[in-house]
Amino acid sequence: MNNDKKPAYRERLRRKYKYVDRAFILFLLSIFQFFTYIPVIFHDEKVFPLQALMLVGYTLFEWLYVFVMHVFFKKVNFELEFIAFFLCGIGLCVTTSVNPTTIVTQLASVILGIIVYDILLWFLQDVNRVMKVRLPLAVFTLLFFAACFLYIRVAVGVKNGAYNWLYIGGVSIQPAELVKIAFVFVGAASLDKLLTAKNNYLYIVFALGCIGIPVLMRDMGTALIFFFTFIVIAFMRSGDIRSILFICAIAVVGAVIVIALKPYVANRFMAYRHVWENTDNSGGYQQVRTLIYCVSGGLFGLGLGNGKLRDIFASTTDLVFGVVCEELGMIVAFCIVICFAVIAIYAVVNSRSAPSTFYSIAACAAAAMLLFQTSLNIFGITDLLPLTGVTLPFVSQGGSSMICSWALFAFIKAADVRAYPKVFKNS
Amino acid sequence: MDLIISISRIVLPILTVIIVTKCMLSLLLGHPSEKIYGYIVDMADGERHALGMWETSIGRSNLCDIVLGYNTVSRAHAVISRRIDGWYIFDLMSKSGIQINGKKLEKSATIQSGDVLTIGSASFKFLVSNDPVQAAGRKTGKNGGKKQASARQQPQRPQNQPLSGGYTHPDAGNANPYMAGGQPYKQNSVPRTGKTGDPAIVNPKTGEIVVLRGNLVSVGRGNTCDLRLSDPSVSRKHASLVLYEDGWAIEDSGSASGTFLNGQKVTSPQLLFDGDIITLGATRLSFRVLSRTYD
Repeated sequence: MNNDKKPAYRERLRRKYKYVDRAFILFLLSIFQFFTYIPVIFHDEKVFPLQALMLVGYTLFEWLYVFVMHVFFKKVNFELEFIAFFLCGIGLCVTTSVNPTTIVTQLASVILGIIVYDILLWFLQDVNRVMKVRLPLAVFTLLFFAACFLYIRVAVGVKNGAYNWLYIGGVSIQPAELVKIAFVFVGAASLDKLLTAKNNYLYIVFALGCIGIPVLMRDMGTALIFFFTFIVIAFMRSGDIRSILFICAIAVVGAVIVIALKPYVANRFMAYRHVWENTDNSGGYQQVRTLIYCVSGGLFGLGLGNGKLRDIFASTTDLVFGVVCEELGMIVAFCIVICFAVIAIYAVVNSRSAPSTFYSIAACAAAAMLLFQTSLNIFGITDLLPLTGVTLPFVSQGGSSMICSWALFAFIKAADVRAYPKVFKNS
Repeated sequence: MDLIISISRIVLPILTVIIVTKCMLSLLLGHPSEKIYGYIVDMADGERHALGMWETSIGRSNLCDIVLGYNTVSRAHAVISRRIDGWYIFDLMSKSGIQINGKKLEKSATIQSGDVLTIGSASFKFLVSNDPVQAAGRKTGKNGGKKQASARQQPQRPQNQPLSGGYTHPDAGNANPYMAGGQPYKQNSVPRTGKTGDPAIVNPKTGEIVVLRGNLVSVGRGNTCDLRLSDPSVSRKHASLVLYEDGWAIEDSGSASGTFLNGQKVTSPQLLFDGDIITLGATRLSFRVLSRTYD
């Protein structure tokens, strides 16, 4: 195509795809969710009325949310919210069909996540406000994370091989998931273009704390996610490949030392790429069954509730992608992966037109965090990477993970000037 | 139940593909197009550096948005920031500092269109269009209730300001650039009457003027163009003048000979300033803001 025609062509495309038809997408989502709710509400020759009420309530909540945001807050772009609704809907159905009692906490997590998302979006619209809280937040986060680790180590103990579960009033919380929000927030605010090298050193200290504590907690997946996000933020700030390679080289040396000193980490690497030799022990039991059942689902799946992977341990958390593959099919599973990839591209595309460097860095860091977590989850259970036990954002069971995923979406959305229609209505 | 599950196995993937595709297209293609909010013009050679982002970094390093090849400029020297309540400049602890209209900048300050920024030893004129976003900010009291400018007023460039590429405006010194004479444009729909402040296209050779109205004025040799030119070197649909929020801009419509603004080829929409020279084929036109009422 002639280069001179590109601007006009792009402008036409932009106008055509400026908004999605809200009612149409909500209608399609509702039909989708209707078909996924039926096997959850009626199974094992029983009816589950509480679950029916909760799931229908979730769909009605989606409609109400979009209506309120559009009518009272003049918002017109809901693409990210629709993707999140879609993923949360799948997660709710899969987890409820495996364990019907989880619906209450899971739905509460979704609604709490949406509230956090909107509060954070409101807070982020003023960069000066963000800059004021970054230092207190960094200090509080490090102290909170360290205190949680010490408390879990002393009072709670190991769960699923790691010291990363906290119990408050019968509800289990993963502090590391909440720290992820602060990690992106402080990172983007500290490395803003307007600030000086002094902030870089402060952020390096903060990042080392956030990466080091999960290592001590034996939560290698979270440590890796923090490290990868740190690399993305550092690159966004400096654009210097040599510095990034230097950091990576130091990290590789650190990883070799950790593997040499910590036998439980070495054990995970021992099983990596050898799962078929460990089909009946912890090294490859989950991965082998995930691979077999994923394939048995085919393109269209066996139907929700008809799979076998749901009987394996951690089927609603680490292995949830395998359950989706088996029961809803490869097409739906592939679309879930596409969603995260597209969100990462969207964050990069938006970063040029974002109202501040803070938004650009925060959006790219949040998208990278989500994409890396998704990759660790999917590649981990399919033996393309060592199994690290991280959740699939929005889909896996877990309240902390759900709230964190929604908060990360707020950072991505904040970089789009369309997120603040009242403020940037002419931009 | 089996029937519903059988139907859902087909319906769910189809619905998923539609939902994801719709959202994906809107996310990737529907974001706002890039605009030029203003310029800093090097007063030594007239080179214009566009301010196309909310925050534009300036320095000697290649990592900056605007790279200045002066030894007195630090690697990361300054950031010009467009905010809701106005434009700001920040000094990134540079060695040689920044001056605004001759006054030394401590850390950061607001800047106005027409201010002279001295970065190291180089001086730049800061030019910006009337910003509707900032106008909205002022309206809501975010700028201390300063007087609000007209949102659609064309950006002003100071007189005798050198243009990019060393061009000298051919109308310089012409007391009456709007005098009638020569061959008039075969104009379809563009009015020829205007008042002070209206943007217009002037043919410097003939003195003919065409006042710009509406949102889009197509220029070319074709019968369907709003502004018709009889020059055979001009394409049937050569260029378009488009009214953006920041003011009038020119964009090429895929012409054979190309569209040039102050001697530089137009490959993306370019904001027009008073006195800019537009070259379409062999025809040269001038973009002016009327300084008096014209009937």
